[in-house]
Amino acid sequence: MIRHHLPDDWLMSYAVGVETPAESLLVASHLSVCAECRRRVEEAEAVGGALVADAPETAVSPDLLAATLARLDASPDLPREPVHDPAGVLPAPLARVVGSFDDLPWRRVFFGLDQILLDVPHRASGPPARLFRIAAGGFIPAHAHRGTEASLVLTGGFTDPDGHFTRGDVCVREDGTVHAQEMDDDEPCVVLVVADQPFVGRSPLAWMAQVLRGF
Amino acid sequence: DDTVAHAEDVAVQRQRAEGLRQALDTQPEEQSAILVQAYFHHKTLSEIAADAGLALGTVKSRVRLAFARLRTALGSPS
Repeated sequence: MIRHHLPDDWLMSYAVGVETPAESLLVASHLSVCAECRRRVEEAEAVGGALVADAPETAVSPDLLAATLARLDASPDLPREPVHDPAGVLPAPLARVVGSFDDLPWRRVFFGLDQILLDVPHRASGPPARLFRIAAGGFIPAHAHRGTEASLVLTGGFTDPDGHFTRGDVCVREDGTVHAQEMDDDEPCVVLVVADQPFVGRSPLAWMAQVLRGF
Repeated sequence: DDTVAHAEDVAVQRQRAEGLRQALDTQPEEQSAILVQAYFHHKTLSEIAADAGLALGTVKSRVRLAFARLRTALGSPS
């Protein structure tokens, strides 16, 4: 059961369509497993409808309809069928980007920590999307967040001061928060992470060196 | 039958839309200004914060407050 959801500012940005591609990937992946947040996105869309209904009438150019229809015709063909992960682990939006969970091109960052930088277009100022795999039983010591970081749990789980996060849960960290994370013991924890600032202020190696302190 | 069910759906939808409009009409200006910037001007929350000279965190909390209130108007669980 999903206990940790996306906050409304994320869902509204998604409904409005102003999110970055990396954020969109994370939101779509969570929505594909969370009926509660799908309902909230529908509500955010209904808010847009009500705002339009309330707005004063305004003149539009005579060719607006034709121009809009032409843009629809010019839209690229999108794949109609969702792409499914043969391993049954990745949500469809993520499987479309990286393929099968069993063939992920992990790169070792440090013993016990692997990552993949995803091929998602991002603006110079926008956040990239990454997958991280942290060994079962690993421990990430207290670290401060600059900017916002959202993590969607795909396998395994972790505990931090806000509770226990497992598959489908989203953990959003705002600027300035500090937390430590303890990974579950049963399997490696794979998370999709979108962070709008670099991860650590101090030396990444010193930080990584502490990741598996318990080993 | 389907037609009756559909008519009930439409009635419920209308009622919800009306509730939503009333809630938007009485929304604090500092919240509605942000929704207008997002929905009509297609701005990111960072852009809205920069334009208004507000901290990003302030804009986010106003969005969350706005939706908590609108959700009550819709009769949805918060």
